[in-house]
Amino acid sequence: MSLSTPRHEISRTPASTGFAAWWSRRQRSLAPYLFIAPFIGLFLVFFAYPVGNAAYLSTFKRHGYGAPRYVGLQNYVDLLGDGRFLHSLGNTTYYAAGSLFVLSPLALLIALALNSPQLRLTGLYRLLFFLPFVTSAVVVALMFYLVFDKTYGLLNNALGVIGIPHVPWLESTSWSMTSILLLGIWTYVGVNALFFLASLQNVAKELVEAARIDGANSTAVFRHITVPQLRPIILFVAVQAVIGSYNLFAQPFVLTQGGPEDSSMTMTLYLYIEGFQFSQAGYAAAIGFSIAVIIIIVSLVQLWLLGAFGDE
Amino acid sequence: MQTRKTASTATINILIAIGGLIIAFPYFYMIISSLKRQDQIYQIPLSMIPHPATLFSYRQLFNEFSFPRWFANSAIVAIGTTLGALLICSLGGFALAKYEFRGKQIIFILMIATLTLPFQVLLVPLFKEMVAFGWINTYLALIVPFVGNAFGVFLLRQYMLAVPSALLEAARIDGASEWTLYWRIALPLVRPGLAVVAILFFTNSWNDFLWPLVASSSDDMYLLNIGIATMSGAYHIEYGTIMAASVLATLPIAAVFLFMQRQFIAGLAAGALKG
Repeated sequence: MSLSTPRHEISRTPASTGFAAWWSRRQRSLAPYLFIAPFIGLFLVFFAYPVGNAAYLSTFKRHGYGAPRYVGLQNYVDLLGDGRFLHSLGNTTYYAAGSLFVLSPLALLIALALNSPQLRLTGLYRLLFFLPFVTSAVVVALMFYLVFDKTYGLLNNALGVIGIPHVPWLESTSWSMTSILLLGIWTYVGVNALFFLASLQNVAKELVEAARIDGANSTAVFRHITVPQLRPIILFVAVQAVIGSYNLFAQPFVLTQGGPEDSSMTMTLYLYIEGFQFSQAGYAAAIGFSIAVIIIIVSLVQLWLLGAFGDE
Repeated sequence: MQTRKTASTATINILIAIGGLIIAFPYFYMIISSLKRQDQIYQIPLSMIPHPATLFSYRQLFNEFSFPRWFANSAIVAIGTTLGALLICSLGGFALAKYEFRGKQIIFILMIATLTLPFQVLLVPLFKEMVAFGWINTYLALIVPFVGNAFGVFLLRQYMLAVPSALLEAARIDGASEWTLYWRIALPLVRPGLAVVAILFFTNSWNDFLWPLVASSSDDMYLLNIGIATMSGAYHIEYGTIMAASVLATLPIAAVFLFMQRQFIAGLAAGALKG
């Protein structure tokens, strides 16, 4: 009680000098700075500085056990001639192409089915298709050991029933990346279907009705009304699919460690190996930036396409 | 016409049912395998019923691995990150939505910059920074760098824009401090936005793998994902035990999802907005 008395005094006499009076006059103009300050502080320490440092680090190279030496842009030049890096770029791009041309159209088909009034149990399917997306990638990868195992896996045993011989999903250089892609499709097709579904439900019903009355069949309605209205979300899903591909890490790390013979090495996995197993911080930083460049280009293409379509 | 309609109804229902089955089956088999005896997993033909059903794998998990510790670590880190992000991002979002001040434009540009750069760029330098801070293998390294998130600020700014300025002005006239405006008026009004941000951060933190892999180095500081991944790296792979761990690691996130489905979907829509 006695403690609160002095504070009370000050607030009752705003004219008095001192911090409290000053504060009550200025708080409105200072508050936004104080409110945003924690974010800015964290941003500077844990984003801006590390990004700058990454650029700096990427100009150094370590030879043997000596201290890293300044090499200018040599790391980037070396990347272009590094077979392992190019291999990881190829694998990642293969995965990105699969996401773009297999996963995304499949997701759209599922969304169309989920949007159909003839479908029963829609709520249940929505839950189910979303579940892999929120399951940790490590758990999903471990789960798929029991799917892809050559002898004891679900997939080969199911294929065996219809007479298809065992496929070495994870053990062969020609199958490993495809297996990772199948896993990716299993994981992300549902969530992308839900993206499509959300905007399908926004397709203007009146337009569809009007087209029907004018005699358009389902195919024509789909091509000329549904698809144009879905364009932004199609673009979004496509770009997310590509960007997500370049982040691929946990699945190959757990399932194949990038093998056999680097056949499932992805860019992020290669970055990790160079940076944390070979202690080539500079080289790893350069790989990080090359992933960033790819992602930025893809994002710019998205913006450009959105702008181009927006003008229609 | 009627038969065609019936046929297409049947086709759609059957195709989606098959799709649902393909999604569900690995989960089902994970649970089954966690209840099987170790040697029954490696038995041809594969059996879909654990015979006999046993909790051996679960007992093994608790007796031979630091599973409860990993679980607690994951919970501490996910909850810590979520609470921290809610505070920092809602404060920033409130400032950006409800005040005019110098430097606002620059802050916007900075935020967009963070949204385009992938985390891979940060991996090595952030690790070095954590080493310099002495934070490696502590909760700090797993929480603090991620609470000041530009996307979170951006998202909550969108929700804060809907808080009526007249309401804030009225409170000011009544003598409320700026902090009171934030804490007592704005925050309660943007509760749905807070739920979306909370879910995004909790899920991301719980499922993250790359950063905790480099930022933690001892068994007692492992998060679930790292701990489980090391189980499979052991020379003697006991698959039933790994599946038991996977089941228990999936339960919390599945439960959150089940009860907060609506906010999850809203979070997705927000993600679409980000792109």
